[in-house]
Amino acid sequence: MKFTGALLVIVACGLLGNDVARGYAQRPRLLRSFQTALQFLETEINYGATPLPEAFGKVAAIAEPQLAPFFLQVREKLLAPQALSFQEAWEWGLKDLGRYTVLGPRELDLLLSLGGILGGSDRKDQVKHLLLTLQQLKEAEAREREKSGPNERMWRYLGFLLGIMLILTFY
Amino acid sequence: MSRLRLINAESGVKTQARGRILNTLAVPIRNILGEVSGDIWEGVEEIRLRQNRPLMLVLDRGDCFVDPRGAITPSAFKAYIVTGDDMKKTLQLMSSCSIYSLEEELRQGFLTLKGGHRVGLTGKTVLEQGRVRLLKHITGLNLRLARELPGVADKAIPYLIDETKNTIYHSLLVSPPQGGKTTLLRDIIRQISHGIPSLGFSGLKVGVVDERSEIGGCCAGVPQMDLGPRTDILDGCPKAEGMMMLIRSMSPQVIATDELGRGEDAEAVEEALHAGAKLLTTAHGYSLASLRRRPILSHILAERIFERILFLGFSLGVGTLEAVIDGESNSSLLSKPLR
Repeated sequence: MKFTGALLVIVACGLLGNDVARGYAQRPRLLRSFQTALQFLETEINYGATPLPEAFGKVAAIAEPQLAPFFLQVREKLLAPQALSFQEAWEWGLKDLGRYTVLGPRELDLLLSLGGILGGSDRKDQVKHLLLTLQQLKEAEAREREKSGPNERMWRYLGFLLGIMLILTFY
Repeated sequence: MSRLRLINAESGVKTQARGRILNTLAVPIRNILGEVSGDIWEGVEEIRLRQNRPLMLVLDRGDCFVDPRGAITPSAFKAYIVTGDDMKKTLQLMSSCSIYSLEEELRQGFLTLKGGHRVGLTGKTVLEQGRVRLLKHITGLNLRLARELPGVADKAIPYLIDETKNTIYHSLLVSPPQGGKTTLLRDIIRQISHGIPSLGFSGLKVGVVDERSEIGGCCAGVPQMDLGPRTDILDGCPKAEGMMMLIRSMSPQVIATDELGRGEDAEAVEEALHAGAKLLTTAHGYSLASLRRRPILSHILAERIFERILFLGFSLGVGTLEAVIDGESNSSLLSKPLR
């Protein structure tokens, strides 16, 4: 009985550690995908002058599975008749994104500022702001990538070790 | 029973159309105008929003303000005051949150909504090399409701068609602003494109150059008004260039445009004549004398290109056909105003 309990504690701590490690591994990848999506959006705005709802539909089609629902949901909000402003729809979408992906508040804050800008000015201005955000995302990605290697490995073991330590302390 | 159903269906369509228009407005204004009674709504020609000023409707019998409960009032002090947020939200709705997709429209100062309704805009202009690049801080907005009036051209048509050759005369429609030129032009185009069986007139290929998106009310290139089955439309195209394009590629029998009067138009008109197409166009004006005072028009008139000149006015209400002049002989074909 005691043995089963101890095993459960170790496994649970191990999984927890794994989860944190996964976050470290996934964050740079997700930031990279977000850049690809925004680059696509920039092309749509600059060369196609495509309105945002339509452009978001196109972005969703090329974005990776984790991000696609975000663009689709914002698009849906924009097309609904209760008339959310773009900023409201965007912020709502990002909040949801924070809940379902490993993106943390720091990364989301970078994206949040786009809410007040996208759709609100002429093409030149839109492109300028998008390029700025892309640059910031790139830096964030590099930062995360640097952290990810050692941190990921550490957390993968740390979870199990923590579990074992708990058992040793209270056994 | 069936008649009742017909009436219900008709009012259903009207409510739907009204809903579509209201959905382009910010929610507070949408709610207020949703309360305006049906028979007043029937007469609405324009909805005017001006930031920090009263909400206004222009009806067929003059303008009025709207109070916060949706009742119309002659007093500006009781009216709902349009806020900056209302303007911003409305513009977002009209542009699907994408101002950049309307750069061309903002440069020209108007845009066309689904349903062919035109929205005029005012605000601060941004210049580039002395020319307007776009408008920002939009503070004034005029939503002109487009209404199709099928049959409005019935009175005029007999004067325009040449039954012996199954074609139309080169025609010029003249009226003061808001006199019903474009509405009449639209219905003439529709009728000659469909053909008119009762007059034994078979349909003609019509090419429309719709420089200001007023004739067809195009939204994304698709005409929102019925212009007939044999009609090709060039939307947002400069008149002179568009007329040439149509002649070169679409072999129109009739070329229709709105508001003749710029320098290059005269040349395009001549070109159209040489190509054998019939012209159907309009001009702002009150009388033959007022047309002659405008350089380009006076030139075109002196050449006696137009075989029929129709004058519209208000003597029996909007769209009254005041006079029809035979361009060859300069004689009048109409004994008294018609409506």
